[in-house]
Amino acid sequence: MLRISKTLFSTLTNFNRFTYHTINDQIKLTDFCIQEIKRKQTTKFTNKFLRLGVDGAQGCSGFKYSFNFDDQVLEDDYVLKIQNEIIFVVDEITLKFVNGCIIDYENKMIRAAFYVQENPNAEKSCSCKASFAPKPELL
Amino acid sequence: MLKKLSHFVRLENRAIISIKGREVCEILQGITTNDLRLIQQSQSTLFLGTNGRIISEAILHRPQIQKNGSWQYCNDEIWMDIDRDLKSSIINHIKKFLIRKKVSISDYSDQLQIFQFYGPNVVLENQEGEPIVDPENDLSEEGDYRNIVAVDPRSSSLGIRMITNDMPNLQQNDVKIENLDHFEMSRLTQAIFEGKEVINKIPFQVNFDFWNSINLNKGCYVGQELTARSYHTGVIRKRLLPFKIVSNDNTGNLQDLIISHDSQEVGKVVKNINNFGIANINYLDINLEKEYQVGDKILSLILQDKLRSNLIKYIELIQSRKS
Repeated sequence: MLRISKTLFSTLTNFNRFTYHTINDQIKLTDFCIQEIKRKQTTKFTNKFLRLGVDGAQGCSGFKYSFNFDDQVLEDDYVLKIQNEIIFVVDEITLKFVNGCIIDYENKMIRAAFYVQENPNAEKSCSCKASFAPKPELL
Repeated sequence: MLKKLSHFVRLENRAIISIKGREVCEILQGITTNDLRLIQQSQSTLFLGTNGRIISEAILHRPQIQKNGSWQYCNDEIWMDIDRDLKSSIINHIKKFLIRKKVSISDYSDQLQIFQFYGPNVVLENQEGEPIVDPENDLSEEGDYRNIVAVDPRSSSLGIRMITNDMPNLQQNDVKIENLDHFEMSRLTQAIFEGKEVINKIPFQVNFDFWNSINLNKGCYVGQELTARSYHTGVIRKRLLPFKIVSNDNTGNLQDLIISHDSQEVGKVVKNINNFGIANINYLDINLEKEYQVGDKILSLILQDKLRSNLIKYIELIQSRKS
């Protein structure tokens, strides 16, 4: 008797249940970044994707990027797929702030982390690369 | 306690704005200079821009509500005590950071009034920002907000601040009801500035480091970079200080005139009303007690106790860094 594995079922439903949007050219990921996401997906974060968020009242410039590995796609999310697999997601609010950005991965002694390389929507960014101040038009 | 303070004023130039929501404290913590976790009843703080300059000063109060017969502090609501004319600019500034948060902002400037009990040479034993129980005005029912009565968090020399919805009962107190100008003069002679006086200034230039408004041990907040750097490694180039003209006659307009000692420039007048005014003083090398020249007048700085001791401490700090 064929047994439908619970994990298989839940993976499918998470990815296919909601209608989400696709990221076209609004955000680009460097090859190194994609490589790193895939590497993490095979080791620690199977069946998860990288989610970039932006939150207010955080950080030295007022707004902060947050990178997490997530497995829930929601209706107003924008999704980047490679070979039909979701590797990167932002929600609608975040997209407003990171439209036109390049996401990269930095692997140095001081830090190994995903970061937003250059944000054309930011008026000021912090040397820590985590906090930024959006241009006034966006607020 | 309240009986020791001889003057009373209704602060019609201030207003209360309430911010309510689960994440209120987290939001304010990220955009103000003071550590909200340390608040008792009231706390003085500043909203800065990313360039480290003041958007506005504010006094934050934690309201209490009567629940099951006892008073409890609200964890999800803060009342901001701000300049009435700056209401909309502050609300617009805060709203910028609320991109995902459910927070409601209510304007209570018509329902709540702010009063101050003050007096010359006030010496209060209570700590700044500490609540004071005033049995005369503490009546309530279930669900009511408590009247806020606290030692002014900026300096106990300013007396006691009170927020309520009506004129308080003053029968037991021997107070003189003053108009706003009298209190403003009392405040300015202590170099405690508010409202439009401080917009776009660096916090140290308007002495907020003296008045418990800046916490240098706090984590990230908007404008922190310049503030922390100025304190630890930078030099404060000037401070706004009150002065008086030594003269029996009325003094004309001294605005923008240079203050000097012998031939050395020591500062510049910002504005004056008759024989009292405020000036930007480059105080680092001067003796605070001396008399100076401005135009053809003689000027001396008004240095009340707390201001004097704070200034002396700061000058000593600068001098110890030089050596």
